[in-house]
Amino acid sequence: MAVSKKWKFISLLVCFFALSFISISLVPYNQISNVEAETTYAQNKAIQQRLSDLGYYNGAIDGVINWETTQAIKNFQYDYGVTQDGIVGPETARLLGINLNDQSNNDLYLLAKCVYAEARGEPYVGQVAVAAVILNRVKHPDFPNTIYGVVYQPWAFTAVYDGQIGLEPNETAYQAAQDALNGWDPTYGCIYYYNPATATSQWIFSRKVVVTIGKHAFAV
Amino acid sequence: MKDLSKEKSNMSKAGVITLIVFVVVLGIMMTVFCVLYAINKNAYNTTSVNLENIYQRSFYDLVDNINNTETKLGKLTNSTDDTYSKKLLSEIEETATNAQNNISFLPISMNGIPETSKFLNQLGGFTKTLSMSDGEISESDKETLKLLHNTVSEIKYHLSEISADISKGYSIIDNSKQTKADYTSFTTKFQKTTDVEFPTMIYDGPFSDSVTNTPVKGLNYEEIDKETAQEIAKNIFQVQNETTSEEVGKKSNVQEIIYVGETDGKFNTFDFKIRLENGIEYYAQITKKGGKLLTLSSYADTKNINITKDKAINIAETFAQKLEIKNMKCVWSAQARGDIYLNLAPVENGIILYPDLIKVKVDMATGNVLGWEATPYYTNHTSRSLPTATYSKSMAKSKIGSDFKIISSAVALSPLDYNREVLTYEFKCTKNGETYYFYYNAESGQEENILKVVHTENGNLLM
Repeated sequence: MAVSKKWKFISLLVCFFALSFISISLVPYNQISNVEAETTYAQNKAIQQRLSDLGYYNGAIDGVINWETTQAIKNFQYDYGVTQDGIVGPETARLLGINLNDQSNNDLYLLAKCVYAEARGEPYVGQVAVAAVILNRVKHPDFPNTIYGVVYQPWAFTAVYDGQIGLEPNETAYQAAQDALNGWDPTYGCIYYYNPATATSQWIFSRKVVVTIGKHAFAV
Repeated sequence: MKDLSKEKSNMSKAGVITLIVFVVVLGIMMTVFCVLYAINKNAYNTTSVNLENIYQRSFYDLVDNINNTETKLGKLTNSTDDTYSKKLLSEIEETATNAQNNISFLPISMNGIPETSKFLNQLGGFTKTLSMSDGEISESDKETLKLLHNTVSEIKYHLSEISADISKGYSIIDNSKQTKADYTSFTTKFQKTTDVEFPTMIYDGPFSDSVTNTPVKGLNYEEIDKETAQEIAKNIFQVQNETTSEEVGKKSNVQEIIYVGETDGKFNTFDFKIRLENGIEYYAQITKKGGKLLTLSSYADTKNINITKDKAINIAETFAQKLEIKNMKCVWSAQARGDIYLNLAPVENGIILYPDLIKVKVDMATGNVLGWEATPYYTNHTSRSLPTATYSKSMAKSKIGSDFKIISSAVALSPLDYNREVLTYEFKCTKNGETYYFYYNAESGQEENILKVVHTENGNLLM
C-alpha cells in the first residue's frame, strides 16, 4: 500500500511539474503584444480638458481614461460621425484639436519614460539628474544629436535593452523630465552615470565623478 | 498468504500503470519542450537575422556617407571656385552628420566610439561654420581641411576592412553579444577608426569644445565652509516663508536639513537635503565660492491652480531680490503640470541680459518656489562693458514685414550661437495668431535670429 501511494504521489508530482513547465514555456508567447501605442498622461489630460470644454465630460481632469471618459469620447464621436470606439485615434484627435504627434511632447514623453525606467525609486533630484545626463549627451559631440538618438543608442542604457523603457512613466518622472528640459541640471554637464555597487565595466570607473545622488554616481 | 500475493499483484499492476503514466507524461513533456524550443529558436533566428540586417544596413550607410565625405573633401581641397566650395562645404556637413548618426545605430560600447563620433560631429560643425561665413576660405582653414581629408581617408580605409570581413560572413550581432565588461570584436574592430590623428578645429560651432568647457565667470568670491553653507541653505526657506503668497500659501519651517555630499565639477557645491514641516523635500546646492544658491529642486503633487501668473512672477522676482540678486525681471514663462517655469534676467541700463538667466519653478497651488536654477547666471554674470547701439531702432523696425503686428520691443544682450554675446533689438510680433520674436544686431542691423512661439499643452516653447 505504502509503495503504491508513493508511486501515485510521484506521478502526481510529475504531472504537476509537466503542467507548470508547459504553462511557464507558454508565458513568453502570451506577452507579445502588451504595449500598444496609446495616448500619454499629458495627452489624456488635454483630451479630458477639451471634452469638458465642449460639454461632453464632467469628471476630473486627472489624465486617467476611465469609463466616464470613454463614454464622453463615444458621445463626441457619435456627434461628429466617427466610429464610436471610445479611443482617440488620429481622426478623433484632429476633430478635438489635439496634436498627438507634437515633437516637444514626444521628447518629454521619451525622456520621462527613460527616467522612469532607469531611476524610479531614486530621489526626485536623482531623476532630474538622469534626464539632464540624456540632454547633456544630446549637446555633447561624442553622442547622437537628438533625444531619441541618445536614448536608443545600442547599449547606452540598461533599461532600454532589457525592455523596461516600455513602462508607462509616472507623474514624478514627467516632472523630473520637464525640469531637465527647462534647464535644470544638478550634475553640471555630466554625460555618464552608474551604480557603483553594480557596475561591471572597469572603464566607467575611470571617469571623474562629479556628484553622487541616491544610488547613482554622475560622471564626466 | 493468498491475500497478500493478490495485494502484491495489485500493487505491481498499480506500479505498471503509474510507470506508463509517468512515461507518457514525460513523453508529452519532451514533445512540448521540443516544439516550443523549435518555435522559440526559429523566432530567435528570424529576429537575429533581421537585427543583423539592420546593423549591416547602418554600417553600409556609414560607409557610403564616409566615402561621400571623403570624395567631397578631396574635391574641396582642389577647388578654386568659392561658390562651388561653399556648396561642397554644406554637403560635407550633411554627410558627416549622417555618418555620425549611422554610428549611433551600431552596437558599439561607449569606450569604442566617442572619438570617431566626436570627430564627425565637429567636422560637420566646422564645415557648416565655414559654409556660412562670408568671403573666401582662408589659407589656414584650407590647411585644416587637408588634414581633415587625410583623417577621413584613414577612417574610410578602416571601414573598408570591416566591409571585407562582413562580405566574408562576419556577423556584427554574433560578435557583439558579449555584454558586460568585455565588448570584444565589433567594438574592437571599430576602435581602429580611432587610431587616426584627429586634427583640432578652431571654430565656435555647436559641437566645439568651448561649449562644453565654458568657464565660470560669475563667482569671484571667497570660499565658505560647510556649516556656513548649511545656514545659508536653511535661510532660503525663511525667505520662502516671507515671499509665499498670503492668500494661498502656508508657511512651513525646516524640519530637517541633512548634508548629503559635495559636487566637484564645473561648479563646486555643498549639497543638502531639506525636509519641511509640510513634508515637501528639497535638494539644494550651495556654491563653495560665495555661498550662493545654485540649484534647488523639488516637486509637489497638488496640482490645483490657485494663483495667477502675475502673482507667480511677483513671488519669483521677490525671492531673487531677497537672495540679493538685483534687478531681475521675468522675461519668459511657461506653465506645465500645475507649475510655472519663469526665466528671470537682469536688466541693466534698460538692456535685458539674456545670457545671465535664472530659472524659477513656482507651484501654482501654494505659491511656493519649488525650483531654482542659476547656473547660466553664475556662469556668465560679470560686469561687462556693454556695446552701444550704433544702428537705429527705427531702421531695424522697418525691416520687419508689414503683415506683422509689433507687440513690444526691447534692447537685449543675446547669447547667439554659443558663447557669442550680441547687442540686439528684440521685437515681439504676431501674424495670423502666431507669435514671433525678431532679433536685429544693434550695431550692424543684421538679422540675427527669429524665434517662433509654439503653444503646447505643456506651456509655450520657443523654437
